[in-house]
Amino acid sequence: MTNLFDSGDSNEQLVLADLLNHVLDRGVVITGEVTLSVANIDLVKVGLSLMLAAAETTDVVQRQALLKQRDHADVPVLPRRP
Amino acid sequence: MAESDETVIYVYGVVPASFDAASSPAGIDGSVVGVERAGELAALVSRVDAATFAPEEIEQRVTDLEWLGPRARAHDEILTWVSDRGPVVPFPMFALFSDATHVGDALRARGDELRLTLARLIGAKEFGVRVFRITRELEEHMGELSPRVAALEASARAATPGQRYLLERKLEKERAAEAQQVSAEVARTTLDALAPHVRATATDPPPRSESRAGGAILNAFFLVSDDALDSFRNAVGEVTSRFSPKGFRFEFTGPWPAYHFSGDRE
Repeated sequence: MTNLFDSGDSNEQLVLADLLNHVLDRGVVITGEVTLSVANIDLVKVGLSLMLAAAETTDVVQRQALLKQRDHADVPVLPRRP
Repeated sequence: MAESDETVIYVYGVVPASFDAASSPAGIDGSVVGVERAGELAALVSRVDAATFAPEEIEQRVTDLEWLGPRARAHDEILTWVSDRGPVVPFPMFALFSDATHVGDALRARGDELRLTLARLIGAKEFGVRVFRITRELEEHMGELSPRVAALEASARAATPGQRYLLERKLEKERAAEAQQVSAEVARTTLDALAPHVRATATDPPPRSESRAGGAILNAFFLVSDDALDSFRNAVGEVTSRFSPKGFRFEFTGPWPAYHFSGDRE
């Protein structure tokens, strides 16, 4: 089992952390019968924040190429540094 | 853990009732993705194993990346596929219902709000921009961004050698002190520069950095109309060219489903 809290800072996990940051606590929360009160998700969010913070010390230009790049024709590609 | 015969309904998000999910890719755990309609709205749903998605199971396994990762990717893949075809209000992971009746009830209970949100999202996608500061690089260019530092630098140049030594020491301190102020201005300038090209903006607090070497100074999300994408892209390019040579890095992600523009957090 790869635990979020002792995982390394590999790029693959960084990309996953960015994704999880979007899908775990984003979107409309419907109350009622839904199973959403998962306490551990708060822990995961803390872990994600730590992972993203740790990643700041890595080369962010390299990160840029690795983070979410979709196979869409309309994905904006930023100019490289002059 | 044995799989049960029981299933529960996993909801990815909400679309207009006219949405056709027939050609959807496989959903979470390889499930078929369909819709549960209620009036003008429909929930995008999969039937998933009730034992796997029992609250206590999720609670236990949610920190296990090998368990969570593929499911998170499937959740996002379905929402991305849908958002390429029309507006969708994304739900967070693990919105589970015991049966279709309860899904319908939930849609009807918030129908007005969901319809308004869907209307706002038509023809738009979400993009993320994170800005990082590389402190050491910024300090070399501080005079170009901070009037206080620029004034001190001018005084140092005009000073006698003895005075200059003291002024140089003061400059070192001042450059370090101005880093945060200048970062805040760069963040604000970035938001202002992109604002005319977007439908809506959302910001998260940047992830905290312990390092003096640098850190994230802006974590922003933008809802961008398809027809404004070129001008938005140009504006991001301009602000990137302006601040990259002065110690800032820009990271751009997307397109995403409108995770940050679905109502609850605005």
